[in-house]
Amino acid sequence: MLPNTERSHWLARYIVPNEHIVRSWLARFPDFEADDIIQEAYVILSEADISNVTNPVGYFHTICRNLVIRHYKKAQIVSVTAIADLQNDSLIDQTPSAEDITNARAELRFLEDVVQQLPETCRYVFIDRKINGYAQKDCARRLGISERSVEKRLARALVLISRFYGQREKAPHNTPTGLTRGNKRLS
Amino acid sequence: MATKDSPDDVAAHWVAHIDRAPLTEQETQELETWLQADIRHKGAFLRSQAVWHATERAKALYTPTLAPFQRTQKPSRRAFMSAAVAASVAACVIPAESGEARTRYKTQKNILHCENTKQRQIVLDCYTQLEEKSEQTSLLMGQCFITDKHRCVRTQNLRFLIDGGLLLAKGSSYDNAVVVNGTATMQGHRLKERKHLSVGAQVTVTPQGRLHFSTVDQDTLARLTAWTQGQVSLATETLSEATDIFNRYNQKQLVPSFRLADMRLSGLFDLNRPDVFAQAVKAILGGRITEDAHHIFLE
Repeated sequence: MLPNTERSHWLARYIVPNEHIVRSWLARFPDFEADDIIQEAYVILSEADISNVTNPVGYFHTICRNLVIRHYKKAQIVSVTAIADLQNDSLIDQTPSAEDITNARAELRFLEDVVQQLPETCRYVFIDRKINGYAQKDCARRLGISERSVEKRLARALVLISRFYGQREKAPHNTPTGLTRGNKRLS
Repeated sequence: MATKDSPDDVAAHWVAHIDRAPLTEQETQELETWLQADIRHKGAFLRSQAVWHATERAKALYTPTLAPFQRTQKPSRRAFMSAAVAASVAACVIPAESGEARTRYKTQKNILHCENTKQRQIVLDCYTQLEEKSEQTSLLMGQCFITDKHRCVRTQNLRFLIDGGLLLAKGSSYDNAVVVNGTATMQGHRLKERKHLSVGAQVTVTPQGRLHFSTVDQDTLARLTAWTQGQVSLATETLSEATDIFNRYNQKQLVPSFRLADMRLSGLFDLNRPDVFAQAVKAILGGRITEDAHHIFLE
């Protein structure tokens, strides 16, 4: 089993950048919140033995899929269309297509865009703390604000960045998000 | 996603707070209580931590105003002399190319990278035999992937001059070739003139000895060459067919039950990890895994 910090870095490296793929798949089940499934899946990942996982996104998708099935089993009223969708997904590909596998350059470009889209107040704090590497105390001194404000703005930036990760599209002009079946993309 | 006081909001505040200073005993207790209250709280917290770590990459965007002075180091006299001596020794042992030289490669349950340079790459699939001569490469049996420039590559029935990558297969009753990248020129086999082939072109010699030309798309090309990366790309094969593929590459044999044998699945898997594949089958198709020293039973 990986220790907690290492596990968090593993999640940061393999799951967070590709989370949107599973999220867009979850969007087809209107009976519950995608957020609930994603959060529960993170908990399962935090307790699973991930040291031998060779396909993290596929593993994450399988966990989410099992959670969806479990939710539907619990539910009193089940959408027939959703169940049909779920049954069809028994053949879903466990791996994102090549263009979905995040490379370091694309990831950096994404982060650069995200930072630019942060509100000004959050952006300056985020840049000082995460890019320039100052401690929160030093950020407060440099920006002339209280440490409490720095913490609040960082938290706000983190929420916004989480949202960007959840909704990201690598190439919005020509790459629709969605899972693949076999070697073909599903819209 | 994150509304005021949503789990995402609260989790982000905790992560930012932990980054500011270590938690007091009371704060640790508060955090623990919040995490235990709802499984979604714990999930949101883990996700926030992971996003926090994911943004570490942003450090690469740092552009210092004053770049640190970098000294351009000249090699020391000793290093220079060592390199010169090494070069002279290397020059003495490099064999001269001989027209008679031939090397035969043979694989069993393994994939072999017998050449891997910038210009030249030869990868042999399992149960393959290949002969290398100075003027040409001949596939005697099995399947190989060759990338080269102006190289003659052949099977018993097909002959190509390649300038790129070619996937070549030779079975007991058929020959098959697919241009994976670059171009290839086909020669011989009762062709009146040379035929130029581009990416995706496929040539098959049927058991009746007829030539059949077709084209495959990029997705299929990627699937056909997945084994060169030690992977298998399944596209709705039955479990029975899939286990046959894995069993060719591994000592530990997968044995599907009668119930599962005809079920189909897709995905990209590591050819050398039948155990991981078995876990995926269990997760996707349901069932039970048992194993002994030489088999993994999927029931």
